[in-house]
Amino acid sequence: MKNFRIALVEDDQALTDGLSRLLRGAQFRVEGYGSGQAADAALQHEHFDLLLLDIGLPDLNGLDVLSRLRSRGSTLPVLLLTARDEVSDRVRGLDLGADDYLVKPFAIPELLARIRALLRRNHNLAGRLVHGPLIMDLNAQRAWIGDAPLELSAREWAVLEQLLKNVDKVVSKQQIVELLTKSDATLSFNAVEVYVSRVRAKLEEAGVNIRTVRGFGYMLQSTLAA
Amino acid sequence: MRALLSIRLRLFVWLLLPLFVITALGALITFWQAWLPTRDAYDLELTDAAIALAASLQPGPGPGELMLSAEAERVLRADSFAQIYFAAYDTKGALLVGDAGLPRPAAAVRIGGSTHYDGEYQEKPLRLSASREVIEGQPVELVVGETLNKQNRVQRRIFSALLATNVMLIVATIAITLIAVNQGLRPLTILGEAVAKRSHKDLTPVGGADIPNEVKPFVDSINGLLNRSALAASNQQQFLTDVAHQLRTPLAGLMTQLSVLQQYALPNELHHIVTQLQSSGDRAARLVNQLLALARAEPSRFDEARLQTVQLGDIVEQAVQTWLAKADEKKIDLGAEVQFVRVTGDPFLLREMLDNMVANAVQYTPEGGTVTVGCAIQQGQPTLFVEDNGPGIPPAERDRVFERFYRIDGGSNGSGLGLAIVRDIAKIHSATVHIETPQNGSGTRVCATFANQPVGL
Repeated sequence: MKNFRIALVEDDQALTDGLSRLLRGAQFRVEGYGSGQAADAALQHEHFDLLLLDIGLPDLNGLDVLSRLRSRGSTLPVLLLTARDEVSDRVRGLDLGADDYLVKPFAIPELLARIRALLRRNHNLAGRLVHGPLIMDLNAQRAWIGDAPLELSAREWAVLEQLLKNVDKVVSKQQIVELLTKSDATLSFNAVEVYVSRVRAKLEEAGVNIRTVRGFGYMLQSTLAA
Repeated sequence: MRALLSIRLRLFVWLLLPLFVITALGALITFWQAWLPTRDAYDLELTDAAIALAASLQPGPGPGELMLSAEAERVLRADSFAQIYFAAYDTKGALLVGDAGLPRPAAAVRIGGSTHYDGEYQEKPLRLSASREVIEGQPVELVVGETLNKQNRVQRRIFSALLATNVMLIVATIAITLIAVNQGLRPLTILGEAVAKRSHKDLTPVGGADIPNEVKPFVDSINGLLNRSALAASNQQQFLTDVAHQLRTPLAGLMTQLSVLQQYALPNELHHIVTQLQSSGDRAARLVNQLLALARAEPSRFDEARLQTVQLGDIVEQAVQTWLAKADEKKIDLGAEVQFVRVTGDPFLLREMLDNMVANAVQYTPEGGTVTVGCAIQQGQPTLFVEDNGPGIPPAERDRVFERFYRIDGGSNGSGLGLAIVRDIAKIHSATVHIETPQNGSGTRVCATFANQPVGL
């Protein structure tokens, strides 16, 4: 994965410091800004792949930074960090053009998963999903375990792609049904189980484990916290 | 006078006491107005009798002597009711004819005149009439008296008639006063009942448009006080909310730094310490959310604008996702059991409610146990439930665990707020929470059952 550059705008020093270290540990390049003004200035001249933006900043608040950014026509993915979780706050942030929203304090794996999802959405050109030894090339429609090609049916492919795009998140059976069926067709949960168990069998030897969450769905878990 | 602290009693006393005095005075005046003409009539009769006596007197044997024939005396003394006494005296006061010792008038009566007075004869009270006439050339004082039988009879009649009318008047007055006072005080009674029925959290103004003018200043000042209380309560809730929000950023810093620390290969002891710190941080973060939920579940701050249709299945899935990592740490099999059920509610609060239910189950279920989070239609009502196969809660404690800061084992791990929040949030959603034993006979099943909700199916 290429070294994405993330702008981190946060005025709490302990949080900025910790996040910078964790993000660098996860192979991101991080630029930290302690105020809205500084971030706003940097965003006008420098290139970033993602903006991690705190709302409660001392001078220019995060929502102002965001609206200035969008008014300049930027499509930079923005993940808001906030201490407030009123529905109205959330709606305001998303209305101003934020792509996602995370309430403090957050679990680091959750933050990383959201960052990766946003980057993937914006860099679909790269088109490669990687999970341990498993690699999926979405453009070439080919998958490998290590160096060995992995053969998948169209439906198996769709299931695995969905799981890989949501590492550490449960993909519900209902989501899979909606993914696999056109509007006219119907699919039972039993059929979903069949597809998943087929994919699971193909991944088992490589040590990639699809976890079943009883009554809910399936999940690929990252073994590392970061 | 403690008794006069009752307005009702005060009104009674101040209305009825003067009324009684006036009624008594009125009765007295009426009595005399009725009695005096009657007495005058009887007095005239006595005067007539005296004149008749004068006419019946005849010259006696001696000089200056007078006498009365037996026939005349019989006529004079004839009366069906009273006893008649009479006497005639000469100018020197010597008895000429009649009953000796009959009381004489205090002052001499002029000739041709008459006077009336009360007296006593043979220990009987009498009414007497005295007149002075010239008989056979000499002035004679004529005294006629009668016992009071007739007068007393008339007095008794007047008295009983007055008594009857006045008793009726008094009874009617008391009844009217009672009704009037109660009627007048009715707005106060209604106001009192309305205030008594209130919950202590209801700080909206009391009374409506129908408050009487006299009570209005009082009600206005009560409402002023309620207003200030509501404002103070709201400020307090706002403060709580602000503090909780402010705590989140330093907590995020702390948790993030701990995550950094955990990435290093730490010696066992340090690793243990970091894990403990993380668990403390997690609890602090949960406590912040619980404080926010408590503040938001306050009926005074409950915002109907936040109500929306909520798929309980979504909430269940979010809760399972959130608690999966924690459950993994204890090797607990955390799963879902979802039916298509919708309710109207505040999604944040419903999530917080279910979070607390799941947190409790994960905490009290031993390693390797099972926790199932779900939603269903139970007895026709939408229900959120969390079921575990842990040690269970004795029936005697099932109500108490919903009290704030109540802990079954006295352990220090929970805040003791979790199930209290569950109850508070359920309450403002017209839901009830209860604990039952799962069908397989062991463990705990906490249910939140929504009433008065259109069941979506």
